[in-house]
Amino acid sequence: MSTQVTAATAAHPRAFLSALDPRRGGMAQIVLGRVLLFAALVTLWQSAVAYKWMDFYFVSSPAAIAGRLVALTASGRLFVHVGVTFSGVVLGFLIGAVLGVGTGMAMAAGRLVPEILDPFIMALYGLPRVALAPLFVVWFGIGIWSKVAVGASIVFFLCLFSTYSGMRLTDVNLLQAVKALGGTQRQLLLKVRVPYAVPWIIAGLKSSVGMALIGTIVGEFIAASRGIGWYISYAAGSYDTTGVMAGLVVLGAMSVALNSALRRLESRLLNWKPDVAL
Amino acid sequence: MLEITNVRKYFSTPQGRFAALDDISLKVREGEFVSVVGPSGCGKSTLLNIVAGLDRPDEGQVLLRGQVVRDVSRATGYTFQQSTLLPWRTVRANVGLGLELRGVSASERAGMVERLLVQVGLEQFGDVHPYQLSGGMAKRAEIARVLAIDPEILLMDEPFGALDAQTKIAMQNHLLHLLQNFKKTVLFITHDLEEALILSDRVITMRARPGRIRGEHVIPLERPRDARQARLDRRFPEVLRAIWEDIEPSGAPAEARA
Repeated sequence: MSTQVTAATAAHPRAFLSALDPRRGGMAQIVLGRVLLFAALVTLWQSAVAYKWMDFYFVSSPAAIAGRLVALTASGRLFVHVGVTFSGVVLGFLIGAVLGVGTGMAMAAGRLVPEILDPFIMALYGLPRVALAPLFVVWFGIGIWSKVAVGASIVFFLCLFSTYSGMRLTDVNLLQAVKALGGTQRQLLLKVRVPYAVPWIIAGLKSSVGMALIGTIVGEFIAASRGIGWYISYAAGSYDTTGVMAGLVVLGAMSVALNSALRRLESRLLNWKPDVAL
Repeated sequence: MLEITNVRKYFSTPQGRFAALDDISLKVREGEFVSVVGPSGCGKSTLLNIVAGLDRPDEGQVLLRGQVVRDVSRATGYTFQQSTLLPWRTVRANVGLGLELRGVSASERAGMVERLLVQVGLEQFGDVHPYQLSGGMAKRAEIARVLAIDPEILLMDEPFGALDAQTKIAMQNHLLHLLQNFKKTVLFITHDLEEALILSDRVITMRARPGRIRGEHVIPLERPRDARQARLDRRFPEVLRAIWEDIEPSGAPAEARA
């Protein structure tokens, strides 16, 4: 077995890589593994409730949750709640990301300005933005914009710091080389420092998606009349565990969907990195 | 072509100010290949940075075609020891970078870049990213990138220093061959005396602390040259010995004296 692998590796380095690459031969196994794990967890949960190891009142059951999701879908309410929460997350994410990346770039490009701004930014960053949510409700009302503001205020700083650090850490040798090729300061910024920071920016974006979701849900907990956060909080208020669990399942699914979208963006933008592009 | 006159450069350390370059004067003629050799810390890279306009002398001046070098000049092309290809660009986009920075249009660039890729033997690798290249291929891409801007003088700072022995010889041959076609003036920095000898018309030796020029050796080998053949030339050992003698007259290794 091991000799076979060695021989194959020597002859075709790519064959060896493809064995390790989940996007080639291994993808079916991964999907199968996920499906089996999901089925096992659901079965365990359902049996635990059926055999009274756990109390339905506290943990509900997969069957009840599935039934609730079907009912919510049939009545069209699921669509409304998901729509409201999803737009809140996406808007909060996009606004925070654009402003954060933009400010990070502007700060990394300057010398004096970041020094002046530093204590102000750190002071704002130190504030728990979740605690600002009630203030945002006062400012922006109970509609979607107060949720967008909470999400954006968290995303903004994550993106700002990742962009700023990435650009500041740009390899001096690359800057020297491009300067020696005749690059102007502006070209060094646009053609070296910004692309150099892309992996950092993407890392920032990836951690931001979850934060935008949290921001939106917190906003909906505090004051809303629609949205998954509102639905969870309403269900909890009426001791409807199944409703709470159904809301959480939807949030989990949203998180998975948003992350896989970002991962796709990542593998497209970072195809020049060996670990992503194999 | 290139005239370095009484250049001094000082560095400040906690122990005080010392001269990295002490009264360096050197002339390089058009089409000449001149190497500067010396132990690490003799200031040879600092000298090259000053010629490139990336650094400034504290005293003295550098004239390139009669013009004082104050900033990065269009007439110079610089290659570094470590790979400085932009990792997010393909080989093709890296080779075209200098032209792109100068505002040459994409369509005009394409043809020039393609020709250069052929010249350096990378025509199959235009769409590949730098991480997929071997050390020698990355070097060839860098040489193509600097040739693309058609500099009058090439400044090369230990370009083959990080390569293994075999790749190094292949690259030396490749460079010799390219220069037959491109006819560039070259100022080459290395600590590899054999390399200096094989490639150069003239070898300048330097000593450290303070960084001073010690001597000058005209290399008697004819062109075109071959890196392997040159090593076997009967004149090779005596020139090599003379250069060694310049750098370490006591016979003690430089590291031991430091």
